[in-house]
Amino acid sequence: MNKLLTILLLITLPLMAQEERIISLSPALTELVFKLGKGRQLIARSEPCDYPPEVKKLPVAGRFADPDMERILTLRPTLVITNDLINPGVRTVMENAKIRCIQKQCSTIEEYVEWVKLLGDALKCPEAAKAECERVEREAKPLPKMKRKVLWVIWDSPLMVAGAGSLADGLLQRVGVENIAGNVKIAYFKSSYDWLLEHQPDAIVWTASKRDNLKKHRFWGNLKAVQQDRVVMLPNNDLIQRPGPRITEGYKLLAEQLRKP
Amino acid sequence: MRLRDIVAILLNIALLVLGICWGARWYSPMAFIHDFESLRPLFMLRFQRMITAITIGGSLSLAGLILQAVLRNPLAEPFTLGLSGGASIGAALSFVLGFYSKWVFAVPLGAFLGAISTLAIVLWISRCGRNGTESLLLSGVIAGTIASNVLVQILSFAQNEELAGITWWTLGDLQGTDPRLLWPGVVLLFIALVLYRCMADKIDAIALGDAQAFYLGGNPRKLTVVLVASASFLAAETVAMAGIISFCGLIIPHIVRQCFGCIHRHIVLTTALWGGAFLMICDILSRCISTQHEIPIGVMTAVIGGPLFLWLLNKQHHA
Repeated sequence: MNKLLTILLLITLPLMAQEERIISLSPALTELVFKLGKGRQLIARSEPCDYPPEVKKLPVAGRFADPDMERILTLRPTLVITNDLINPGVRTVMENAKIRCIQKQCSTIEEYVEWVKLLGDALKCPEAAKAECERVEREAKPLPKMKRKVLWVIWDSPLMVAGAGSLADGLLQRVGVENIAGNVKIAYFKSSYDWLLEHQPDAIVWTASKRDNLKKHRFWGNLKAVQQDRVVMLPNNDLIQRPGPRITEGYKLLAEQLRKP
Repeated sequence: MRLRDIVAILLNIALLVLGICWGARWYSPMAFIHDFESLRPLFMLRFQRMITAITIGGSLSLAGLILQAVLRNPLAEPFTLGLSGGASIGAALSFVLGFYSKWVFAVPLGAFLGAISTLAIVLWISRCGRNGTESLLLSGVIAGTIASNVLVQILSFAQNEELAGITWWTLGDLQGTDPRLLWPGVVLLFIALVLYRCMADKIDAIALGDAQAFYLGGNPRKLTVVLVASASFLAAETVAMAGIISFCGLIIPHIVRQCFGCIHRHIVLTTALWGGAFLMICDILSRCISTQHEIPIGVMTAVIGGPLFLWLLNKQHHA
């Protein structure tokens, strides 16, 4: 019996040693780690990481793109994944501490698919990664184009809208509608009420704070999309603002709302 | 009324009409007259924006004029006494604590309370100017510096969306001003104009120094408190309406003084009118250079006002 236990221990020890100890500094990447079935290897998260719910039990090791280095070094991770770093110098600190850091933007569905492949290789789960890539391509398949101009409101005061290169713009293109601000080559920018009155959208996606009675607002009430109740407000904006595994759910809800006659 | 004021009023009216006609698309005044019903929303939007520019430009310039006179410092401007820092803390707290999404007036109210609280603290620390205007000025500068650092601490807690909101708020925005905040601002500007016109001789006296003001029959300390508090209140009101718009309150009083002299009886109305005209020009350009993508008004005031002021300064030196 003792011999058997020793053999088992000798077999499992190297396997355990190879397992990555991951810290994620991005909510979308945290969701992806769980989606690839490696949630138990996650040892800490960033402050805004809140899904799946069990992730909240993990210690916080910084804010989005802003790691708390003391905390990270104490937790002894082998891999830190992030979309961005406010202070790129911390990467050298991690490298000196023999912590691998994968840093890559993730602001479109295409970039999300690239991340899936990257993490699939890094966490040694290429099959799960391949399945996830296929699922995203299948469930967020680009739909045929239709003549509908859509405005995506990120913030209403001051008015910030989504332009070309943003996740919102990519989603609208896949849904087959036209982003009314898609000709501006800035991901998120301050727009003008005046311009919107002249170029009225057919529908609005509203991810700003919920506002009651938009119809009575001195500006929004003048837009036909508001008068005709064509304002899409989803119960959970993370579904369309977070380029993670749940983006396909958001895509479906958007397509349903924006393509209805 | 002097000729220069009549010219300034005509300039304001011309800019008002230009601001109503020019925007994402040009409409002639005749188009508005003939097809008013269908163009009503656009007219109301542009008209309100222009009135906001006149009110804020006038209020900031007037506040700058008074503070430069009372503090006897050419670098004084409406936010010298730390008002912008206090207002930013109030606004940032409204964003970070989530009040912003619950009530549309949360940010303006937060900014106003922040600015007024800072002013109260500055007046209290400097014993209402009992230790001289230098102590008032220094208390204001220190309060502003502390407030800026507190703001940085608040920003470090903010999420990305809140950060964007706070950043844009600090750059000023005229299109988002609520009409319910605009009309009290117009009334306040009118009251300030009447008050400063009536107190013009006393402002001249205090601009010469506390001793001169005393020998000319005034109470310098009381006068300082009344003028500083009223000018700061005016500036706080503009912050609640449209965020922080810098430069207007600094350069317009200088330009007016260089062109028309330092007798406040003659320049109170002129300063307000020129301030209004200046901000209208900045606003028209900010929304017409790129119709879809607005340039922040705070950037326009610096880009236009800075070179204009330096040109006037050089011109005066050469003369």
